[in-house]
Amino acid sequence: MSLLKRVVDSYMHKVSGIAEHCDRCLRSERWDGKVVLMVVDAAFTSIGLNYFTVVVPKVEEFNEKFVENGRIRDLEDLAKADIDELRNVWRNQRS
Amino acid sequence: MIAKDIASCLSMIGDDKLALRTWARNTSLEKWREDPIGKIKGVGLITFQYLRMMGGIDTVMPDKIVKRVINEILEKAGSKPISGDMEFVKKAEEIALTCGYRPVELCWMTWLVQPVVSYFEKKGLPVIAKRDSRNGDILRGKDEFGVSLEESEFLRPGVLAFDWRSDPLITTEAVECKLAISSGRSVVGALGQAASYQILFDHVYVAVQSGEIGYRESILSELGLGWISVDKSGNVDIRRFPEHRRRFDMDQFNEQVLPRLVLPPAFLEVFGRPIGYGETREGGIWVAKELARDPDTHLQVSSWFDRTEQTSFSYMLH
Repeated sequence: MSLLKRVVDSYMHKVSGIAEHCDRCLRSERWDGKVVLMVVDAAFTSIGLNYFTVVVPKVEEFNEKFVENGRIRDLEDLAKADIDELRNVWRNQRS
Repeated sequence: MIAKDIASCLSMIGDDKLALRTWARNTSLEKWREDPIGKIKGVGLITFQYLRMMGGIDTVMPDKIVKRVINEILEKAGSKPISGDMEFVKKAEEIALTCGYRPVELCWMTWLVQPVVSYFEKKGLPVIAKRDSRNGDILRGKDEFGVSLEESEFLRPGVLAFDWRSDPLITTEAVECKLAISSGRSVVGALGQAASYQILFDHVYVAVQSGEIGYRESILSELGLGWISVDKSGNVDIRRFPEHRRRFDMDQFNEQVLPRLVLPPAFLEVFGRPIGYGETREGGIWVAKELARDPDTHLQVSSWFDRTEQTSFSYMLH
């Protein structure tokens, strides 16, 4: 076994359950398969905010305020959404 | 604005999921700047790659923590770290596939593992954990600490830190690391093993990605488990300290832990740091200190403990 494989194995061994998480990611099933939330997630990630403490709660907030109540049902709705209304959640013009 | 612009691009392709997956499949790393989404102001390679991953492409994104951990792996394997983002993504994909993993697994792994080991070592505690055997200021080894509560069950805490400074007995801190789809589910996944460790170790934590865990915090509280939160930048936050010796069984500790764990601190006390260690074939532990190594002389002292034997001690002189 190569030294590289031994080193990588030593890291991977620590993270049980990661294969299942990655399967869902590769099946486009993150955020319960809601692509709108995946796009919002990626947009937040683009501005370098802390992922787990800032991005995830903000995406959850977006889901609660816009997606779950049917105001934004798909990407087309997001593309046409009122930017001022979205900013109430985001509070960051770039994302 | 970025989200709206990305949504606008993708919605022209068709149904949401199909659009994301079709876009991801038809674009490429090399052409990312020519891609309609790559051209959106504010979309960098990290966002581009992250979207591709969520669109079903097995790749990595070159963000800060991913680069830090993968470059650390490269250096430990004797290779040079890579700074350029494009080159980094290609190299990380190559490493994953060469080693039998998916690139996306390598990417998600980086967010959780290393920070926990570093946290305890910075506190000056020797740590037994799976890692590169050459690494570690105090203990150098690549094996975890194995314990067996039942004959058919062999448990290995992800990280075991210990302290022999303040008490006649060794104080132990065991950590079960999990990464599931959310921090809450990671906690649920770690509960079973973590609760088992409480029989044997003084303080037991679960380590998961940062984020709120909701009602599971009350479960941790009822079980007396600690909660370590690791953020994407590798920062460790102790969100909840564990209760001391909840469910602790001294007989089990004396049988399972003490005979194995006494060797590393004893060697550290006598010979100084660093000490090599590893797991024996029978699930025991060995420790070794190299006292001299040059072309003419190799002097090493070692000791080991196995369930089937007494503790043994030897020295080797070539």
